[in-house]
Amino acid sequence: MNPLEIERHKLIIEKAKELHTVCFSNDNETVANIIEQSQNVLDAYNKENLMAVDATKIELGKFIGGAKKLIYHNYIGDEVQELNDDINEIMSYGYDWICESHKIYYDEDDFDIDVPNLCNKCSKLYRTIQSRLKELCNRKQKMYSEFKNAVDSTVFSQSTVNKYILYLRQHRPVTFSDNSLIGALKNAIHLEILKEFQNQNQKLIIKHS
Amino acid sequence: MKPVNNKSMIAFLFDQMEKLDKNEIDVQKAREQANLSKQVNNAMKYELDRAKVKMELASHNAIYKDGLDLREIESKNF
Repeated sequence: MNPLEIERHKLIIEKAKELHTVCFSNDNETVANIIEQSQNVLDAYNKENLMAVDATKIELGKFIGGAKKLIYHNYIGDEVQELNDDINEIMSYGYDWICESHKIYYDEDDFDIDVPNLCNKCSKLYRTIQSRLKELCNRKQKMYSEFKNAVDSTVFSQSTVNKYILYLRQHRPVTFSDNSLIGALKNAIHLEILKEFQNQNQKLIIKHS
Repeated sequence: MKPVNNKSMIAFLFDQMEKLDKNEIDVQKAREQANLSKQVNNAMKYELDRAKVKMELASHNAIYKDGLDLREIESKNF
């Protein structure tokens, strides 16, 4: 099938869907048939060539979202976890050193800090902790931002995008055996995405390794 | 034995899923195919990690004028 025919079927589906919303009820079946016929042609073409010629904007967005999640997890997951652990530790125990007189209690454990009235010692420690928290958050933010820009500027091959979308379209069977095939497929596609990202972003990966 | 790359693996898995849908292969066979594919995926992940380590080594060697190399443990021909 040539690209012109594919575009024609896509256009037919788009226009028929519009028509479906406004047509008379006795024409519903006819319009639905037209949609179904063109969709069947596209589905058969997609299946035969492992393509997703009728990929929607939502599906393309899901690809980018999925790729980002995968890449973050694979390349900066450990670093982010360490930063989160540090942040959590500071948040959990960071203010225990403050003098009791500067704590405003809500209940037994939950308190806020009376910042304007801190003594010199507490005030200094408070500023140190705050700047450490800010530094950790900034580092995390910078890392995410670098990788986000890298993913946005990476040119993923059309074939990989198509396969990811086809994978998304697979029905999710309930039996374990069917799922194990889906799992293997997911891993293989993920590897393809990582390979393409790694090839195009070597400097960034080395920087964070 | 047919050579496999990641793209051909993906095509194979899509094909197996379709066959399973059409009952051309049984659940047992699909499960075994999936298990074998997972092993191939592991080998490919190893290759990806190896490429990353080689990248890191090249960068390290350029900065520190060092000659570190990743040992070829599978260079022997059979």
